[in-house]
Amino acid sequence: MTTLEAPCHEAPPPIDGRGALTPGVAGVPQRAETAATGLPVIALVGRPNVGKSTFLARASGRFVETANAPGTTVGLERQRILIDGRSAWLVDLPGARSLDDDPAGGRPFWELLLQAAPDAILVVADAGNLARHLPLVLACRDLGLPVVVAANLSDEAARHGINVDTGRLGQLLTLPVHATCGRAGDGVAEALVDAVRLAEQRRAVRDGARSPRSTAPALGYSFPIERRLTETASLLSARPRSLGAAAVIDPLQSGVLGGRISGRGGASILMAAELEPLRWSAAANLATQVERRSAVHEPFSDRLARWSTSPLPGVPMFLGVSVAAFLAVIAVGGWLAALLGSVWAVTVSPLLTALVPALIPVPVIANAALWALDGGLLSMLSVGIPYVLTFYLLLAALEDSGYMTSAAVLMDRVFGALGLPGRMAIPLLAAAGCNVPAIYGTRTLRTRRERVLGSFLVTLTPCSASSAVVIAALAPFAGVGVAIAAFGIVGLTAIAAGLGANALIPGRQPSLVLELAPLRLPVARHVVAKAWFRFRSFVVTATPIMLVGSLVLGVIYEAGAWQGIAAAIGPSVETWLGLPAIAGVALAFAFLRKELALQLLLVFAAVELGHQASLGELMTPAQLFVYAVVSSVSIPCIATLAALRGELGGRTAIGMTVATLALALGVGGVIARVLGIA
Amino acid sequence: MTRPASRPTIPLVRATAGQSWLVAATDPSIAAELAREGVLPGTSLTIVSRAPVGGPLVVAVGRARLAISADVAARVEVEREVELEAERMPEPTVDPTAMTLG
Repeated sequence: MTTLEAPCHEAPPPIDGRGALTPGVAGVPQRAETAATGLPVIALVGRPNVGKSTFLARASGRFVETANAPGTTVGLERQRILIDGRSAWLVDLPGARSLDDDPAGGRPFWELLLQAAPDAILVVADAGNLARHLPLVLACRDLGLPVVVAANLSDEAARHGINVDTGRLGQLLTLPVHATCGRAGDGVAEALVDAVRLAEQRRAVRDGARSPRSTAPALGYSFPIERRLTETASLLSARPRSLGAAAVIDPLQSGVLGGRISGRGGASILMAAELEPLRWSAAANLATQVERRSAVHEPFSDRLARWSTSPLPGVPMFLGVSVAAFLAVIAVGGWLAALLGSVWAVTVSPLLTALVPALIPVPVIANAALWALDGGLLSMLSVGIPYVLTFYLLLAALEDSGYMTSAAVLMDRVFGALGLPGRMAIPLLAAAGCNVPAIYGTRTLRTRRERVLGSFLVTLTPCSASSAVVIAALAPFAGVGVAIAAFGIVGLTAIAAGLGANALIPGRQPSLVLELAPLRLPVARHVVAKAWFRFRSFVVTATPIMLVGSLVLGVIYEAGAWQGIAAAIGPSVETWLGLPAIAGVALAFAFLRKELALQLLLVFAAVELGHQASLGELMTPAQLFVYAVVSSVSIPCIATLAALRGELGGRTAIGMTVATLALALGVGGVIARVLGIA
Repeated sequence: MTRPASRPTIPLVRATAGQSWLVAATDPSIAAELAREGVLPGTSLTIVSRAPVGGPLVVAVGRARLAISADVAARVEVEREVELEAERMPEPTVDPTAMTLG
């Protein structure tokens, strides 16, 4: 009996002669193509959502970001495993539906597979849906490499009354087949042992240490197809004479010539379009022979899944989940922000206020440094940790449950007009809490185009801080109705801009053919790990920008340069938007934190008017309306900019900033003219 | 798109929900993508639900649920499964020792 032990992070891991699996991770994951050491390589292959990453986590003890949604494993990572005293590299490949699938964007899956140069393939298949998963097994089998099948999710299959006769399936396929359950770890070790054994054998044959074992004949196709396969194989195996041995040939042929796959394997890739239908019908046939079905009650999760995509009760369900997510982010985030803010105010803030001036004798520089350290870090604490982490946990739970893809179906048409898939609904709603996590939330979208369009829409969505500015500036002085009207205008601007961007950005929304993930109870370990993984990347990218941005603004403010800025931008702010010059400065400073649009305005008003002035004295209701709309639409705050830059690159981030600024000025100018203040 | 003239087929997008349909043909522009999801000529599928305002269809293929947008569903021809039932040949049994895939 093999057992899984706690992961060992030190190399070399202990070798257990009694056949126990001692998974060990040799340092950080390395790039797969450097796998030139003598250890055999096993490629982990499977359709998306088959629990491959969980399987791998079980195998290596290391958690890989997983999602109950297709396509989260994109890079090629290899990990060293030690099992039964044998070592091997395990390469996790992105989920693929066929060998010619395009999971990573741009390159067919078989190229990734060849790049990994496996000595054996471990195919993870869904035991409860073999008809759907065996075609990939058959395709891998055609490659001429040893294949081991893990009939995974066997627990889920059993719940659906499906039991697989793995022995019979192994006979029919002439491959080792193991029933596995990645979540519990059952059978994982056994499947790996088989894969390592076969990989070692193949490696020994390739190195000439062992003569090739006569392999069982592959499942044959009909005679004409086999003949064409043989003909194509011999073409692929012939080294082009006109070119030198080192000449660049296509990756398929070099894979065949380099012995990574057999000639017949290469031919099977070329003839995939013809072979796939045959594999699917053979798979259906095999499945009926090895599946034993017993009548069970439809599991509640299946009924829930069915409901989640029907207009009724799917739409109310979706609205409920969305509103709950929104309220949770606002409530939990707000509570945490207040908590962290007050803790900061009584602990770190006084310390900094005392220490920094003592260490830096020049008051202007000391105060500017305080802006960065006190103000900048506080904004990380009051935006980053509360809102971002809360939303990440929520999003990860929704993703892991599989609900995201179901909800996406219902909203697909609505968001389709904006060039976005339905799954954008959740990040967009979260954007009303805070834009930053919503931008990271667009990672669930499939193409870069969708991510750009989605992020643009996010930056135009007023976050809770911007909404607070709109409400606080308008409700007391112009009335609640006017505040709602301002939100209406902001919303219309966002929709119009979204439609415009969809029309302007080249490309179109891909047609949707998507397998919906089954609904599963989220696994806390997955949720926390994924949320933490994303949160860490947010902290790393956003913190330096927040600090530097705060410092720059601090210097400008403390040196009194803002009066110069007011003088410089004042005339245009006055003539175009009909606002006082200091309003322009406050808008510029709101770049640091949206709340500053309000707080600084009051400070500046006090400086200008010389007393504790209210906004009502500084601006007329019409001016406040313009101010609120412009501040809400205009440039994203610095944390959002950092997120945009991290996710989409500097150029796109700047492009979006310019676009929102132009949009804000355009809309503001028009409103100012309509209201007759400019 | 080729399909036998004898049997009436309709685009999947117009097929009624809650019924089982057999795929007669898929448009070449989308055939490979559909094949990866197991929607090939001869596949039996059931329409589970239809999203509002011309949104995607959810179809069940075996135990899998697929979302297929309306523009794709317009390029899939289906026929009623019951109509074919009578004409269908019995499933060939497979001899494991001499199995052929096609």
